Amino acid sequence: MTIAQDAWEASLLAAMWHRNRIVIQASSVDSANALFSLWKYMVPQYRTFVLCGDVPKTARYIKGAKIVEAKEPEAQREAFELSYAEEELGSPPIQIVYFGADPTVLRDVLSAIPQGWIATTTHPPRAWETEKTRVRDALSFADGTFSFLDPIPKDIFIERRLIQDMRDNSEGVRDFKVQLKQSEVHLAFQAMLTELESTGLLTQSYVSEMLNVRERTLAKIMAIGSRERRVDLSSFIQRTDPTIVGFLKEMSSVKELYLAALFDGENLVGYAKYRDINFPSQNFLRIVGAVGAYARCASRTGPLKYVEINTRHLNILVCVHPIVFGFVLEAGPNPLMVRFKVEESLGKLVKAAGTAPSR
Amino acid sequence: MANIKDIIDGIMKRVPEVVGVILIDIDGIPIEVAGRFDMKPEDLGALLSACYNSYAQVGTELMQKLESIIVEYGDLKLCQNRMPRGLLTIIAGKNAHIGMIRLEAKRAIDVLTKMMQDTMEMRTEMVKEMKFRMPDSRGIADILSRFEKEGS
Amino acid sequence: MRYYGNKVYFKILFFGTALAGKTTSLRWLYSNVIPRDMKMTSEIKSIETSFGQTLLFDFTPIQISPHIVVRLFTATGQDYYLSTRRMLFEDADGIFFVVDCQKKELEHNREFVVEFNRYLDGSEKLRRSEIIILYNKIDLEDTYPARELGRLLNLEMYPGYEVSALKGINLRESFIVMVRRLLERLEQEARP
Ligand SMILES: Nc1nc2c(ncn2[C@@H]2O[C@H](COP(=O)(O)OP(=O)(O)OP(=O)(O)O)[C@@H](O)[C@H]2O)c(=O)[nH]1
Ligand SMILES: [Mg+2]
Repeated sequence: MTIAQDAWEASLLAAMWHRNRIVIQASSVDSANALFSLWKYMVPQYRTFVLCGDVPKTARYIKGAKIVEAKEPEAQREAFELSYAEEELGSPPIQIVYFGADPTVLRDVLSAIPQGWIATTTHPPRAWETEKTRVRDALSFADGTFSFLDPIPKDIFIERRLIQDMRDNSEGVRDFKVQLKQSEVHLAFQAMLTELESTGLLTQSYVSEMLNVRERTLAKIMAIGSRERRVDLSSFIQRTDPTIVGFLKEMSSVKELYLAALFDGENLVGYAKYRDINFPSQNFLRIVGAVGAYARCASRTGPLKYVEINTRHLNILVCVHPIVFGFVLEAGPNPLMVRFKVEESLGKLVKAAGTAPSR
Repeated sequence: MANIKDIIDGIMKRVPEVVGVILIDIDGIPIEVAGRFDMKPEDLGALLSACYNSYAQVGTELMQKLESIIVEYGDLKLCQNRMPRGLLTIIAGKNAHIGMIRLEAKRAIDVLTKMMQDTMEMRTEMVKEMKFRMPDSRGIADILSRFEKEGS
Repeated sequence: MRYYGNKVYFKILFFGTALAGKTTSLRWLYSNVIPRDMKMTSEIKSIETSFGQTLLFDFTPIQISPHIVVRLFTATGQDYYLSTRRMLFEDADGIFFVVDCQKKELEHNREFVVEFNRYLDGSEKLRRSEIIILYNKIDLEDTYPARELGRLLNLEMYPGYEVSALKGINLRESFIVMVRRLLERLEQEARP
C-alpha cells in the first residue's frame, strides 16, 4: 500500500466514523454493495444498523440489525426518522444503510435524515443531487465512486495513525483494531457524560487522566460524541491553559520524565504522561497532605516546599509553590534539572493556573 | 572502634548546617539521637518512622522499594534513608546543601548497618545466656499492681 | 518484642472501625491507669485531621519498669489511610480490637473483621500476638451484648470485655490482662 492510499483510507474511515452521509455508486447494485461490504468494517459496531432497500444476504446477518421492510418511500422515511429520534431518548446510535437506492429514494427519503446514512446506487450524483444532498468530496476507484455529502473531518490524525498502524495486518486484525479504537472513544464519551452529571464541570487534564487518553483522542471523543449523541460537551470541559500546555511540552525535553501533573488546590490543571506508567496523580496530593499533617505535629518547620521520594528505579518529586507540581521520573541526578525548570516557568504558571473549575 | 554515637556525632561536626541526626529502628524506636529537639526522642522516632512509612506506601504502589526521601520546608530540610533494619534521618537548616547531606547519609549507612547487625547478634546472645534478665528487678505482680492503684 | 540497648520494647495496637473509640480508650488509660512516672512523654502524640479524627495514628510510649517499654498505638479507622493501618500492624505484640457495639455498626465491624483476618493470615508473627476484643460503647442504647456480637462477628475465640471508653468501664481490667500476658511471655522467653 502507498502513502496516498493510507491518506484516502483515513478519510474514508473518518467519514464513516463521524457518521457522514455517503453514497457508493457503481455500474451495478451488486458491485456497489460489494464495495460497501469491503469497507463496512470501518463503521462502528456498537451502532444499530438500520437496513433498507434490497438488503443482500450478507448484510441480513449483521448482529442486531433492524430491517425496514416498508416499500413506500413515505413509510421508509418515517421509519428512519423514528429510529433517528429514538437516539435522543438514549437508544444506541444508528447507522442507516440503503441498498440499491434509486434517485427518488435519495432525493425524497434519505435527504430528510441529516446524518448517519450510507446508500449504494447505480445512479450518478447529477441524477439525485439536491440542495440538501450536495456532493462535497469524492473518491473514485476502478469499480466505483464514494460520494461524500459532508465535508471530510479536518482532524484525522487518529484515523491516519490507525490506518498506518494496520497497514500490514490481515482483514480480521484490521477489523479488530478499528472496532477497539471506536469502542474506546464511544465508552469514553459515556464515562464523561456520567462524570459530568455528578460534577458539572471538568478540567481537560482530569478527563485525560481519568480516561487515560491524550489530547487528540479527547478531541475525537468529543467530536464523535457530538455527532452520535448530539450533545456538545466542549463547553463543560475546561481547556488546559496554553501556558501550562507550553510548560508540559517543554518538560518533554527531560527524557527521563514519565509523567507530570499540576494542581491548583485540588484541581488537576495540567497533566502529561510522557512514557507509560501507572501512577494516579492523586498520589501527589496525598503526599502533600501527609507531609502537612506531620509538619503540624512537629514545630517550626515552615511551609512545605519540596518532597523527593527516591526508589531504586524511580524518583517522585513534588514541588509546592503553592501550585503543586508532581513528577515521576527515572532515578538519577535529574531532580535538580526538573526543579530548575519548574522555578524558571513558575511566574507565568501561577498566573495561568488561577481559574480552574471544581475538578 | 567507633560506635554508633561517634558516627552520628561525626556528621554533625562535619556539616555545620546539620541540626540533628536520628537513628531509629524500623518501628520508630530511637537508637541514637544527636542534636537538640523540642520533642522527646520517643515521639520523634514514632513520627519519623510513620512519616517514612507512609511515603513507602507510594513506592509500594509503584512496585518499588523506597530508598530515601527528602523533604524541604521553609525553615528546615530533612533527609531520610532506609537501612536494612532502621532509618537514618538527618535534619538540617534551610541553607544546607542537600547533595552534601545525601553524601554523608550514604557514607554513614554502610558503617551503621554493619554495626547494628553486630549489636543485634550480641544482644541475642545475651538473651540466650540469661545475662539479660527479664522481667528484671520488678516482678510481674509488682508492675501490674501499679495499674490497679493509679487514678480515679 | 524488640531489644534495643538494655531495653525490651512491646507494641500494643488499638484497631477498629472509624469512631469506634480507639483514641478515647487510649486517652482514658493514659489519664486514669498509667502512673505518672511511667509516662515517657507529657502527652499522647496524635496526628489528626483538622476535625479531630485520627489521621494516621495516636502514639504514646510508657516505661513500665527500668528495662521494659510498652509503646501504645491506635490505627486510624478511616479507609483513606488503609495503607498506613497495615503498616502499624507490623511487629504488634498485642492488639486491642475495638468493636463498636451499636447495632447499626454491625456491617462496618464485619468489614474490619475481614481486614483483620487478612493481616493475621499474612503473618505468622501476628497470629501469635495477644488479641483482646473491646466491645465498646455499652453505655449506649441499642447495642449488642458482647457474647452475641462476638458470635455475629466470629470473634468468639478471643477473650473480650464489654467496655465503655467514655466512662472507663472495664478498660483498666483489659489493659492489665494484656500487659500480664505480654510480661508472662517475656518471662518465658528469658527462661533457659
Ligand atoms: N457513648 C460512648 N461514646 C463513645 C465511647 N467511646 C468513644 N465514644 C465516642 O465516639 C466518638 C469517636 O471516638 P474516637 O475515640 O475518636 O474514635 P476512634 O476509634 O479513635 O476513631 P478514628 O480515629 O476516626 O479511627 C467520640 O465522639 C467519642 O466520644 C463509649 O464508650 N461510649
Ligand atoms: Mg482516633
